[in-house]
Amino acid sequence: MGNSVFFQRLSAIVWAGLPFVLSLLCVMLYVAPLRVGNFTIPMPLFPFMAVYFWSMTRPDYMPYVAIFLIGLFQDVLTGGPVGLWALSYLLTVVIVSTQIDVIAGRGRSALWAGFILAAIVATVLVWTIARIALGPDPAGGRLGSEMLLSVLTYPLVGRLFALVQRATNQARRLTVTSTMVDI
Amino acid sequence: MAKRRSLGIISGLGGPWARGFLVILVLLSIALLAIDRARPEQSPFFHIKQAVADTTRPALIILSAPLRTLNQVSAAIASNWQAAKRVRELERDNRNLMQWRDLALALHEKMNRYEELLGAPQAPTPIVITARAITDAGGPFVRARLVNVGSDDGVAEGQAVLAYNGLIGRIMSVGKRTARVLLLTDLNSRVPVFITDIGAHAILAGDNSGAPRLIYIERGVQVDAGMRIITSGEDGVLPRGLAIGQIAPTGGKEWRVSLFARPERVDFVSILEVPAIQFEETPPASADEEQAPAPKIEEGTDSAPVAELAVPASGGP
Repeated sequence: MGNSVFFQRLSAIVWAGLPFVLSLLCVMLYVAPLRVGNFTIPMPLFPFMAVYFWSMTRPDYMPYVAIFLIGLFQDVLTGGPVGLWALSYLLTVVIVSTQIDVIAGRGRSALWAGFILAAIVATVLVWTIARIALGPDPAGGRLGSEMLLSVLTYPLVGRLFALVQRATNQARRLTVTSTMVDI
Repeated sequence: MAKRRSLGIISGLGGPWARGFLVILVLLSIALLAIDRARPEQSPFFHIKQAVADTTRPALIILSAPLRTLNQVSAAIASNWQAAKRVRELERDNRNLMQWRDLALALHEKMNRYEELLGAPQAPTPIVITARAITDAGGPFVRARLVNVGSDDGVAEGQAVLAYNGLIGRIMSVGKRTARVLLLTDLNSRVPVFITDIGAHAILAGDNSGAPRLIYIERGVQVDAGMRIITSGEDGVLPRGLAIGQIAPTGGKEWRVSLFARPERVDFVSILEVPAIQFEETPPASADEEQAPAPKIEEGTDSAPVAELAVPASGGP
């Protein structure tokens, strides 16, 4: 019985860590090169979408330390100033979380509307922080296109995250039920 | 409504603790930003960034594989678009290039003879390392790309990185299996260049836009659009003569350079390692002594547009 409880708890930890791991994979997907014909296509900010989705739907799966580490990983992998995305993600989540009652639990449209708000907040924050960190003209014209693309693709990507979330919930529910039976 | 609480490291901490922890994380982020404000090469996180890149290399290669296939398919479609027109253009270019090749061979022969007469030291043959870019240009504020070769493959900091048609940047940091290329378009990129048409020096300064600026142009020279830009080699980092681009027609006061190679679009690159010229220590030759044997020029690479480093010694139809 001891072993069984141990593995069930381990399973619970693994499921709880899935959003974080998925967000790290999103960072790696974000830096992957994408081209169509002779044109370079900016990547949507997948890690930002992941951070937003879990911060709004299951904040207990996306603690502040996870958001900080995801941002830090993005900073390190892109080679940019360390702390830029970490700080931007943290502040964006803090600001948008004030509206969590309006956004969460009211369907996909509300989540998407909330994401548009989050994208605007994040763009302003990232731009301001980059301006302080990189000088008066960081010339990040690409930031706007990445954010716009993120807003446009969010309904699809958010649905994929929702599927993962549903699987996680089911797995945790099963784990809890079987633990109670064991006890 | 689920309340935010912490998992793992700070398990069991309640709301006020989580808020306190948030403040610490925000302050930590600000501190990291303040420390990392220096130029990329002087960043204290320089080696950490490269170690993370090394560790994530396999995952990056796996994740970029489907996108690479998509890129190849779209490139194939784009390449076949208006194929007949493109073939005509290529035939015309080929005829022009044949004339240039004949001229290059004649000049090479002439230079060979001058070098023999002067006893000039042998120009080193550059070593070319072929690499594949495994990440994109790195977000809105950075123009740097990771390539899948590192110090194990002979890559070192400062080496020139070229596409088939021109310079795209230089190696900024090196891990064991990966290296980061600082593109010419990056905000931190500064390359001493030479305007061949008027023989003037300048600095090519990236500003995260597609066309870097030309600054510190020599005074008293008349710069014009269409003039060709090559590396001057005055920084002692990049070799002289690497093709970069040509001056773009701009209406404003500043001059910008239209790059021959588009750094963000390149998948395969050549990393150029130029060995130092070895000067033989010989006693001063007397007039009746036989002249030192002329250096032998080895065949160079055909993948890099190296104007003054490696010239094909043999060729012809």
